[in-house]
Amino acid sequence: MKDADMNAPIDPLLQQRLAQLSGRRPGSPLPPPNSPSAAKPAAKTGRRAKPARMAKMSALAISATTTLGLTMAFAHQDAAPESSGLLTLATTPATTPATTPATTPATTPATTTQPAEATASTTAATVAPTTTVVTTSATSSGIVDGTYLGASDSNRWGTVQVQTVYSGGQLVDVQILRYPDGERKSVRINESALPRLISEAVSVQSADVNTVSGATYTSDSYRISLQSAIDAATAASSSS
Amino acid sequence: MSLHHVEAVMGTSISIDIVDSHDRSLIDELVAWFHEVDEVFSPYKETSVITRLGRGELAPTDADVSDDVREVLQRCGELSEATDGLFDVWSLPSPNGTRFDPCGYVKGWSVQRAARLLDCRGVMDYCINAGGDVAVGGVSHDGTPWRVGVRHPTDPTAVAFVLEGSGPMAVATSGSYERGAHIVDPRTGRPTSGASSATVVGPDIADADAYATVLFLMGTEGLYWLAQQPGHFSGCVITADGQLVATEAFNAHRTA
Repeated sequence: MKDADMNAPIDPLLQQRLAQLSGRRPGSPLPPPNSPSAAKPAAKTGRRAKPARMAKMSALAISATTTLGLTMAFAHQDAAPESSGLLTLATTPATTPATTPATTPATTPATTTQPAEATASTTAATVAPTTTVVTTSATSSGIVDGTYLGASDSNRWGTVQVQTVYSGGQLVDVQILRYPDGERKSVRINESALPRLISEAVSVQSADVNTVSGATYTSDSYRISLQSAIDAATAASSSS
Repeated sequence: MSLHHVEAVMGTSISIDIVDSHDRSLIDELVAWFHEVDEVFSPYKETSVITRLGRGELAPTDADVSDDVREVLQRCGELSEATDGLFDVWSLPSPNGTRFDPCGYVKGWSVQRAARLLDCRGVMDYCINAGGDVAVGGVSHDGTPWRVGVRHPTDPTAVAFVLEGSGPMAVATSGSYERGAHIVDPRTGRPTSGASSATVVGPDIADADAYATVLFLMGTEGLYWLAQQPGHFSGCVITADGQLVATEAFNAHRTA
């Protein structure tokens, strides 16, 4: 098991990456609903017409992480400290060259009140305006309460965007937004079951494996895959 | 005393390893099964049940629709519910021109059924890999746990990490290796980071396959969603900029 050092400062590179991911100042709430940056291009037939792209990571929990820098201690405002730490994005010791501690700019309560529907221009007719008001405030954990919208993406399964809601410093809701149908689904988070996330730089491992799992091999891609090489080697030493 | 076979079927290559038997009829049985699945479920075939269902020429209750097909339809419906419609085989552009394409479930399901068949035949130690969907049972040829590598997102000849397991273990990966780093968020003009691939490990390759697709679509936050699902599945996401984000439960399957 890869264990993470809860007390190590976050890698500055990771912190920088996370800030870039968010495209926003760490901890900043959603852009105003009618701002140009938040408007989605109209795509009534987007599910089929748009080129398939890969799903994008929603930046919200991540941007919240940058405000903490180190550990997302998801304690209720009135909760005992030992109840925190369920949800943590930590780096493994191997990839954390323990350097400068993270800055935490988001300790001042933001007071803006904003509608959360950031794609009103194309989906107002079909999306119920739930979670319409986001009042941000700093909590004891340092995570700014609010609704955070991830980047949207079109792919074979439609256009998908993930939105997270923090309350009392805890992730309380992950909502799946789908366009252009305008469906809004909500996945209630059972906070007691939230896993701790561990992040590390992906590396290249020894290919001493019996088999390889990967995104769907077509017959063509199989021919140049590691799995085909393994099969060739196995065939040479078995009875088929 | 072992068997190895690779069969080109279902638009991919299926590798079968059976460690504790030399009865070739086992291979024949599995190969026949996968070809049967292809005949019934391929959306590329004009006369397949799936194509006819998609066109409304068949209803799920018709006598021509087998119990296998009904089982797939039912589970796809359940998965659509469980994923809040994110995994919805009834709203996909299908090669046959309809909006019904259950391929995203059928491949893993067919491997799960193949593994169950081997269980019924008394086979303990096996590995089936259908286009990257892996189901293993028992132990590998040298008596050690199966070592399942997960493809490196940018190097098709390398693995990013290795999962190790004895007994029933399923590993499914969903991803997009060719795109990824070139996607620009139109709102910021900056390259965005999404999932380059997502891997799910669990007891059942049919569900693991579907969950991996969902995890890939949701990105790292899908790991919270996955943790809420029943059945001891866990996962990881490799982001487009090369971070491996996993839960502790997932990392427990990784070799040191």
